[in-house]
Amino acid sequence: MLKTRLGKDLLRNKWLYVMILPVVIYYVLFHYVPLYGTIIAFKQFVPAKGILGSDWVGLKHFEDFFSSIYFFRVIKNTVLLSFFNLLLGFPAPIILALLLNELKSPIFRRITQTITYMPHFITLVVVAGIIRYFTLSDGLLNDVIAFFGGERISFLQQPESFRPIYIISEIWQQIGWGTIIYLAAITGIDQQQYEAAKMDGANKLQQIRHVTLPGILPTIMIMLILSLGNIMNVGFEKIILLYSASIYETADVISTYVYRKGILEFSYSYSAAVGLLNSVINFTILLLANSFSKRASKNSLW
Amino acid sequence: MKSFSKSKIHQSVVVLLSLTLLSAGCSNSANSNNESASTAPSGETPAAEFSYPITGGPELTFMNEQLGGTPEHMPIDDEYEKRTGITIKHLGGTPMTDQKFSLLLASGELPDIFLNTWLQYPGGPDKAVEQGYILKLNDLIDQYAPNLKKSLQEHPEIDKMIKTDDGTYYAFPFIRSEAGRVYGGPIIRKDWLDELKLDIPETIDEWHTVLTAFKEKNNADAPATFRTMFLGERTGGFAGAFGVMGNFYINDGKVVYGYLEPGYKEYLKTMNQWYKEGLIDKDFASIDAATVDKKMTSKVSGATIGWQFYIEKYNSAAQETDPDANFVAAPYPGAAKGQLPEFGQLDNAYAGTSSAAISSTTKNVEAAMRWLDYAYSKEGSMLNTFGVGGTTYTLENDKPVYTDLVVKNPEGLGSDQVMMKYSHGTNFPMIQQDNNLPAKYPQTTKAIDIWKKTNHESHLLPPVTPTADEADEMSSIMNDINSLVKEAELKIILGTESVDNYDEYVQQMKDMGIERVLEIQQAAYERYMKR
Repeated sequence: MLKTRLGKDLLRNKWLYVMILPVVIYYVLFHYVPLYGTIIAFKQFVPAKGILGSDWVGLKHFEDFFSSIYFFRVIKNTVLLSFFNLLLGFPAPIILALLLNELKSPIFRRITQTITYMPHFITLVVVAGIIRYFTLSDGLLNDVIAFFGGERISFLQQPESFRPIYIISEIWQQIGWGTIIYLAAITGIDQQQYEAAKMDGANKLQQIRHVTLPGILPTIMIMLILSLGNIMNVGFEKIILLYSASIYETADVISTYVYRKGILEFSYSYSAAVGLLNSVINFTILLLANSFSKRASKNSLW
Repeated sequence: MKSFSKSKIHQSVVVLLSLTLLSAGCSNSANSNNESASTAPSGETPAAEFSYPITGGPELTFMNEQLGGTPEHMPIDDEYEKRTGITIKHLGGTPMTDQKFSLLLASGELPDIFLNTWLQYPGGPDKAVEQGYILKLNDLIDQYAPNLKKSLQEHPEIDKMIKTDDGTYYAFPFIRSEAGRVYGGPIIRKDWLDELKLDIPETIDEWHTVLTAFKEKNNADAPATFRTMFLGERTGGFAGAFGVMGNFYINDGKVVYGYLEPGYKEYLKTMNQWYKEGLIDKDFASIDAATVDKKMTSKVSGATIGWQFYIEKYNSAAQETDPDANFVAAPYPGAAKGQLPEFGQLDNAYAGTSSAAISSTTKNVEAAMRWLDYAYSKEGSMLNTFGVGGTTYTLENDKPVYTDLVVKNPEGLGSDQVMMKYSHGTNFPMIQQDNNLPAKYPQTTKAIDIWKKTNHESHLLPPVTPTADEADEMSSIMNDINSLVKEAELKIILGTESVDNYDEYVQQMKDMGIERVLEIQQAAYERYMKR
């Protein structure tokens, strides 16, 4: 064994291997071993019988989901919410990072950055509470509307206002946090490129367009592929905390629907089946996005 | 690394191995105990000779169905322990509808005594027994629960309620007293009514007049506020006046589903009208209990539907700033003067809640049975109803009379708060007796008689038990339907959907299989009547 290349490498870099061992063990234990549990998606799982002892039911749970009257609605809500969230939420931190980068005073810049990424550390329960109280018919938002002579509306009971509320609060909470990686990428850009651009007479905007953006494009692409891979996982906890039966029409997504169904019927198997379906869709989109990005911009995850 | 000698490693491995072996041995011996306990052992104390406290000081684990961590240790717990000789270790609680419950089942680490609404177990209580989570109690009751057995022989109507169709006993029941079956209804600000020279409203029209007056004359932003669960689901609310309620109930021997009845559309139409006129809280579909409390006690609202103890709560909170504030119970509204509403709020004497099952993993079946059986004995019943003799009550002419600790509490606690420490007044497996506890406000005491005035009794669906297969089928149909009706109801009241579309929802429920559910319920009901 020690004669092979791998053996030599193991010997030479044994401490590096020791260092990575915990990570490998973690992934095997917590991400690969539990995978065998997904077989309950094809069984009628009864905890008392155990995973292996439960009866096989084939694709029954998938059929149940496809035949539910809510199937199209929850798929539609999930995709739309996710899509708009990505469309508006993805560019936001990039724009903010570009703006922060142009600030002259380092103190002012640091303060701004801190203020924008603070909300990331507020727990969702508190954020949901804030949203709830602000959108009540006698809440802050309606006080402002009424002050300008508008009509008071109970926003969280209006199906059409759920998406804007969700997306705006999402951006508010995540924008500052998202800028960190882009700012890091911007600092990595060679200053000589800016010098050269200035020599050629480029103004600020042209510098951003021709130097900064191309410089951070690889980072942007990687981030985009990663977020596309999460397109079906919209913030389930946040929706659970905000929605009520009056806005299921727009707010009920795959995960919340499965949660209600799973809780009421203990349908572990059903939930597992829908979760698996979700992962398959996510994985497919990730593959597509990756290969597309590879062809279009030479940047890819693999 | 070098400091670790080979022998050291060797030693520690040996220690580890022997430890695991030891623990395996422990669990094995525990298992064998378990077997000997659950198979009817010979030479145990026969029922007649047993007397409390039990010997050997066993310890049992216990869970109820209230979320919110481990409850405080109370004097009643000490008293129970002293009398039964059994120590109870409380592990908190989880309702069956919470995710924690499924996780608990999946973990296999169940408490010895498990309070829950076993009637609601998916597939019915039979299924919980069949899947091996809880014990079938029939033989065990004969062996270890003479008090419960005697109660069931004396009260065949209770016996009928607490077993399944095939005669399985699965839990020690919480049987509500006649007065304890009603505990919720409309609540209104009497001082506002007096100011406006209006009587307490008794019909839908009178309610309309009163709420309008509250809005216009008292500047109440949301004259009536409540959470959605009080709208036809947990209580008949205003729906009773239209002869419907949002649930399954009996009409002349037939099981019906309120949402399908024509009266329901009429009711929604009226509610939508009220909402449009601003008589109902604009935010009612998305508010929590704390918000309702705040509005009721800060002059934003003057009427609600809620539980009895809200009257106590609102009066004491509002009177701090507004000494005239006076919240009283209002009757469930009828369709016309002097006509009783069909629905209010009424539980079955056995609603299934807080019933104690014994989990199949328990290592001490006898202790669990004895501990639970104590509540059905004469002494146990006295303790749970009136608290600890000499502390909370004294006997005068064989009648319990409350001591000053309860009625004039030195710390200013309400009598119900004191009794919570020294007795199990409610939500405990027992046959509840009326404790005639004086409330802080007479309005609270009067509430029950006011809310009782309905025809609800004749519509009450008893605790039927569909078979496991039927229950499975029913829950998979009802799941989507429950979502649908809540959504339809709210959208129509809020006006985001026209009331004319209600017929489409009814059609949709039929497409989803509501008629099949009614068949199942009807069959289960008929089987129940034959028990």
